[in-house]
Parts: sequence; structure tokens; C-alpha cells
Amino acid sequence: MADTENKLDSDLESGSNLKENKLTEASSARTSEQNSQTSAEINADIITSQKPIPLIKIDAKTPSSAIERYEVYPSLPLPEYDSGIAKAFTAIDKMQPDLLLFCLICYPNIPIRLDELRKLSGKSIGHNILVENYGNLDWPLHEQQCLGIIFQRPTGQSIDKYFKSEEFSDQEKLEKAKLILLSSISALRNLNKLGITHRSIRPSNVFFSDSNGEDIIFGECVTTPPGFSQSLELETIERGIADEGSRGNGDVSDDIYAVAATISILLQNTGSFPTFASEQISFNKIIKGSFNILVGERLKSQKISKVLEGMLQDKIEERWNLNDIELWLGGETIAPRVYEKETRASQGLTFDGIEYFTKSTLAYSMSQNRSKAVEIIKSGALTKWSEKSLKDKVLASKISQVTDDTTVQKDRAKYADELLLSKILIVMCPTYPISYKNILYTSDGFGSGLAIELLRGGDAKTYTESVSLGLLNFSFQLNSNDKIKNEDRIEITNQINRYLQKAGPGFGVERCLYELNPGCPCQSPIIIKENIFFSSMLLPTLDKIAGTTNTQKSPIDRHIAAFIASKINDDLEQYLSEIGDFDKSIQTLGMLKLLVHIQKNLSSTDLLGLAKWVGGLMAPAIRIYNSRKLRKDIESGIPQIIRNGNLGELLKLIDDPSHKEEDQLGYQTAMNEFKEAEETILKTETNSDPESEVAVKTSRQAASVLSILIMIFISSLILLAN
Amino acid sequence: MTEEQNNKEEIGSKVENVADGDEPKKKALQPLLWVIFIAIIILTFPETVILLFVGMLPTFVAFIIDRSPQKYLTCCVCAMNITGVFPGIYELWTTQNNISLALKIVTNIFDLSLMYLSAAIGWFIYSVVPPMIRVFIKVIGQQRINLLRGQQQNLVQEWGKNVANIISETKTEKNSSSHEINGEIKKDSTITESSTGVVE
Repeated sequence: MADTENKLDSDLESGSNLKENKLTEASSARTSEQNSQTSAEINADIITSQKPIPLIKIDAKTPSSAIERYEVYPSLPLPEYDSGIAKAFTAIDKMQPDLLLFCLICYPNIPIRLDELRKLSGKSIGHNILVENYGNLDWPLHEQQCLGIIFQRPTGQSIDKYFKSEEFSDQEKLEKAKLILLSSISALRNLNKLGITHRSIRPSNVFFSDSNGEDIIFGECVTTPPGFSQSLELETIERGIADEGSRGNGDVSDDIYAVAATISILLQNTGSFPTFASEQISFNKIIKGSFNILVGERLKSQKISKVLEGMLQDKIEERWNLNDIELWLGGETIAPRVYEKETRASQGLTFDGIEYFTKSTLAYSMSQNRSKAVEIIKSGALTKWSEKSLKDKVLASKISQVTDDTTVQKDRAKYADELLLSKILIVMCPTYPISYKNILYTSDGFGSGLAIELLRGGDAKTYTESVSLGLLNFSFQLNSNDKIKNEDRIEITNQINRYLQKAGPGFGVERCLYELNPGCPCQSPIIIKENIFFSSMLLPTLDKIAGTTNTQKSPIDRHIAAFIASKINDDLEQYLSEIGDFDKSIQTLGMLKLLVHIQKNLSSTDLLGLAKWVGGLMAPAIRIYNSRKLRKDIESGIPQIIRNGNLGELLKLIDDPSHKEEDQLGYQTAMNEFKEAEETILKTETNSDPESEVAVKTSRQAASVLSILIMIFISSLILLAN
Repeated sequence: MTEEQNNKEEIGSKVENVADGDEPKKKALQPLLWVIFIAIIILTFPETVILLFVGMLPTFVAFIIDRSPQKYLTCCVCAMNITGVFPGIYELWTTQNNISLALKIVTNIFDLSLMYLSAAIGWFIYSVVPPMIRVFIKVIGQQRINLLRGQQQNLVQEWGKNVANIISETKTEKNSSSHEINGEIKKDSTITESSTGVVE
């Protein structure tokens, strides 16, 4: 019997393997423009061959039916649609099986761009890939819930493949480059209208939207922090220098730069593009300029070189904007521009054995060799060089001022050298990323940098330290081009500082993590595998895991408290301070109050599992009552309430004001009774001592009375006898 | 301070002085009154006075010996002494009531023994009864303490150990207030010292 079953199993397995192979072949055939099969046939095969994983909603407000209609096939990868670390797999929409979809599985330890994803989801935005929907998947590879984003497959192939192909002539490729430029104008304008920057434009992430290759669309831009998966060639100098997770959202000029860099890479696929070590790319860009490094004289077409030169300008104010590109594509002549070069010193400053003539190259090298950099600042060589050789008296005075200020701040002596160097580097190149110890982050990339550091299990102390020391605000003050924007940023930085100064649950670095990264799932060890992005799913998830997790621990830990505080706009300060109280009973009650608040506002369903979990932790909260009888009464009432799954009722039972008043009154009376009893005992002890004054007096009084009584008695007898 | 207040105070002090001057005069008159009163008694009832003087000698001794303000010893001895003297007095008052009968009674060894023996019994009562009463008081006190301890135990069982904290709190408050008072006294003394220039 068992043998028969095994045989059946193996037959089924071999059958499914065959089908899987067929599907893989089919999908690859389709993407390589040899799709003889119709999409309907392929989808039919997919449905019958693999056990798909359904998408689960990540926001309780979204109807389940809108999400669960999508299914993803983990055994049918689509590597041509992989985007950075996010892997692509075949997906289907059960409502529209004819649609060609793919799902990008986001890496669990990398924050996503959730705000951007929500703006893009379900909307057709011209020249950008269409995001169909998104939700969690129980992904076997990561053994946890992962975010899956469903995209509509571009009909055409990746332009990277097109440019690598030798089938097409250089002229045809040049025409396609122009097509990319044309489409990018529309694509970036559309994104700009939504307040989004793409920040993931690279050769492998741009596709032909039709099989004839006549239109272009940009691929996804939401699976990683901005610029995270970009190679250094595609990033501007400022953002390229920063750590990969800290490159910031940037603005449309950063996308224009990335488009130009993409085109230059695509056009030079034949091998003329110089290859540098990654650390050399930024340095070479600083020395020679991005255009000279990425394009130079290597392109045959002078015309396209011209536009790329404008788009690759390192100074933002000199870089071509979308209108300039549009005019150029329209055949209009753009007035020839003279690009201002950086001031060169008359005499070089020798640093680490190399002579430097510009402040940007020197600043970059100083940031790489920090101990020696501090030496030249403290020796005064840098100030002298700025004044005499660079002839920049403003810079020289700023450097000396910063040096003096930092030396005066003796309370920060522990960080003095690092702080001094960081501030000097900001003064020298205000647009460059903030450099502190071993981290480099742009002013708008602080949040994602912190998240990457924390999510990778690193030490976020360096990030928080840099904010506490005021480096972010210092940078904003020097980059004061947009005063309104800067004021907002300074306000955010001050807010971060306030969070960091408070140590209790709901504050600290965890709060900064969730406030600055809406796309960071809750990192609490209790629910990390559930990949929670929205507070609405928090209680249902806690309810779900109640049976499998350690229910001796509180369901609200530091991460969950910070997650709730950042996602819910209500004033939760009181609950959070109660949770952080040293008194276990206040702590427990605070936890219950917070859960009730969330249940009231976000979750209408009964939470049987969570109520049982929380009910089991209520012992310390019941201890706020002094009366043992009342405690027993409350304890006996809990199981009944747990069965309803209503946390509000549980709170009402435990935190009943009338019970509290009654208990307090009773307790006060009991204390007074105890005190009175004690006082009486003391008095009695004192008075009943044989040597005590009262006892002696009383006993003698008794003797006197006895004598008098005897006297009266005998006298009366004598009188009566006579 | 106003002039009116000063005048009032002066008048008040004068009134007090006048009152103080009257009391010594009254006190000085008291012994004289007693002497007159006793003299009248002696002259009016000489036989009774003789009998009482001789018969009540133990009481006079007890009165002299007893230094306590309440004079319980005197009370005991007196009461019993009166019991002993009462038959003599009764005989005197109900028969001849003259000095010779009084002298006959006080010289009768049996009557005198009865008077002094009863006084001795009074002395005995004073020596024996109080210790017995004290033991009795202790037993009753212990019972009461046990009852109160039981009540406290019940309160602790119902309201927890913290219900007893009020005792330690009261003690702490008392200690702190006594410390404060001591501190104030010390301060005052320093102020006094400094004002007199001793500290400097």
C-alpha cells in the first residue's frame, strides 16, 4: 500500500517537474521575444503546475478579496525582472488570468519606500511600470512573511539586453538612446507630480513597453531605499560618496543624472567605458568631473555628448533640467553654457603624501583618512592654505571659527576630534554627505541609513551620536538655499533629538527608526517574521501568534511601542510613560490601556488569542488593589471576559474607578484600625507592666479601697451587733 | 508696638502683683485657723481626742513615713486603724463619755492591741494586695494585647503587609520631626551664641 502511495507521489512529482520545466522554458521564451505561445496558454499551464502562494493583505483597511486574488509561484523565477536584491517570480491575477504579471519579493531586512508604493499602486503612471498591488507572502526562502509587489510585465525586453545585442547598429542604438531621453522626460514629470523621485534608474531597470521597442518605461523604484541598488556611476558625486543606504530621496536632478549615466553606459557597451574600482569612481568624478569620467570623448555622436554633458554636470544649478532636454530633443539649440570650474589653489596642500589643489578633492581624502585630517586642521595648515593658496578668506574664517567653537566645547571632549573634522568637512563642501566616524549620509538619507544599520544588526550609535552632536542641523544651516524646507528639516532633527533623549518605551532609536522609515516593518522579535507595516494589522497579528509565542512576555516591547507611537497620531504619551514605569502593576496596566486604545480605534474584531495572552499577564495589574477579596473577585472575572476577546472589558474590570475608590477607602480605614490597635497595644503593654506607674497607682488604690471597704464592713457589723 | 498696648501690659502686670500679694497672706492665716480649730476640738471633746490621739498613733506614723503624694499607705493604715479604734469610740460615746473612761480604754492592753493590730493589718494589706493586683492587671493586659494582635493579623490578611507601613511611617515622621526640633534648637543656640559674639 505504502509502495503504491510512494509511486503515485513520485509520478505526480515527476509530472509536476516536467510541467515546471515546460513553464520555465515558456516564460523565458516569452521574455526573449520568441513567445510563440499565447499568454492565456502559459497562464493555464502555471495554474495547473505549481502550488502558488497567495498574497495576504498587510493593511486591515484593504479588503481581503482585493489582495488574495494574486498568487505567486516560488518555483517560477523571472530573473530578467530582478531589481537589485528583490527577486522576481511569476504571479497571476485569478480575476484576470490573461494579465502577464510578476512579483518582486522584497528582502526582509531592507526598508522599502512604502509612501511611494502607496502612491504608485494601482495607478497607471505614464512611462513607469504599473504596480498592480502589494501584500505579504509566506515566503519559503526567507522562512517568514515577505512583502511581494505585483507588477505588470513590460511587453518588451530590458533595454540593457537590446544594447548588448550586436544585432542592432550604432545608429539604431543612438535612436533608442534618444527614445530613452524622450520617455524619461514624461516619466520623471509624472513622478514629480506625485512628489516622487525614481532613484533606481539603471540599464537593467529600463524596459521597452511594447514588443516593437518604440516606447520605454522605467522599472520599479520601491523595493529598496533610494539609490540603494545603484552602482556608483549612476549616482551623483554627493550621493555616490554616501553609504548605500543613506543616499537620500534627492530630487529630479538626481534622476536626470542617472538617466544620462544609464545612456552613457548603454552606448559604451562595446567596451570603451572605463572600469574603475568602486572607491576610485567618486574620487575620479571629483577630480575630472562626472562627464569626463562617464562620457569624455568616447562617444561617436557629438550631439548626444552635448546633452549628456549638460545632464551630467556636477553642480546642480548647472545641470540640465527636463525643459532643457525637451528643447534639445525638439531640435532647438540650447545656448552654449560655460560650466564653472572649481577654484584651484595656487599652491597645493600636501595631505597623506599627495598634493591637493581643490577643496573638494581634499575634503574627500580627509574624510577617508580621518586621523591625519584632524592633524592638519589642528596645526592650522588647512586654514593657512585656504587663505593664502586657495584665496578663500570666507572659508578660512569659517574653518578657524569652527575649530575655536569645537575646542571650547569641552563637555564633548570625547567626540571633539570627530566632531571638529565632520564640521570642517561640511564647511568645505556643504553639499557633500555628512561624514562622522565611519558613516557617510546625506541629510535626507539619515533615516534609511539608520534603518539599514539597525536592520542589519549593526550599531546605530554612530548615527544617533551624530544627530545629538548637531551635525545634521549644522549641515542644514550651511545649505540654506531653501529656507522653508530647511526649517522643516531642522524641526524634524529637533524631533529626532527629543526622541533620542527619552529612554522609555516608544522613544529612543526605535522611535526614530519608524518615524523616519514608514517602509520599515516592525522589528519586534515577537512579530518580526510577520512583516507588519501598518498599525491596523498589529493586533490581528498578535492575536494570531498568541498560540505559538512565549505568552509570559508582554506583547508590547520597545519596538512595538515605538511602532505604534509612530503610526498612530493620537496622544499616547501617558500610556507610554506608564509602560516605562518601574512599578510592574502600572507597567501592565499601561500596556493594557494602549492595546485597548488600538483595539478601539483600529480593530473591530474580537481578539480571543490576544485577550487570553494579556489576561494571563494581568496579575501585577490586579495587585494595585490592596483588598485580597477584591483581587480574588477580579481574578475570577477575567476568564469570562477573555472568552469575549474584548480587551476594553478587561480594562474596565481591572481599572474600575469605583473599585479603586472602594479599595482606597477600605485600605485607609484598615490602616487607621491597624494604627489604633497598635497604639492600644503599646499603651496596654506599658500600663500592664508591674513596675509601671499606672499599675502601681492602681494597685495601691485598690488596696486603699479594700481597706476602706473592710473598715465600713466591720464598723457596720459592730453597729448592727449593738 | 503701640502706646495703648504698652499701657495695657503695665496695668495687667500691676493687677497680677496685687493678686500675688493676697495669696501669701491667706497662706499665713491657714495654720492659725487650724490651731484655733484644733484647740476648739480639744477643748470641746477632750476624751475623744485622747482616745483618737493614742489609738491613731500608727496612722500618724504612716502619715509621716508615707512620702507619696496620694498617701495610699496612710489611707490603708488609717482605714484599718479606724476599724480598730471604732469599738473604743463607740463604747465612749454610748456610755460615760469622760476622760477617765477614755484613759481606761487607752490603757487597756486588749483595746490598745486591737487598735494597733488592725493598723498592722492595714499595713499588711498595703504590702500584699498591690503586687497581687499588678499580676492581675498584667494578665488582663496580655489578653487584651492578644486580642488586638489577632485583629491586626486579620487586617494584614485582608489588606496585605503594607497596611502596617503606617506604623513605620509614623515613627519616621516622629523621628524626623524630633530631628527638626533638635536642628531648630541648635540653630537657635547658634544664633544666640553668634548674637553674643561667642561663636565669632
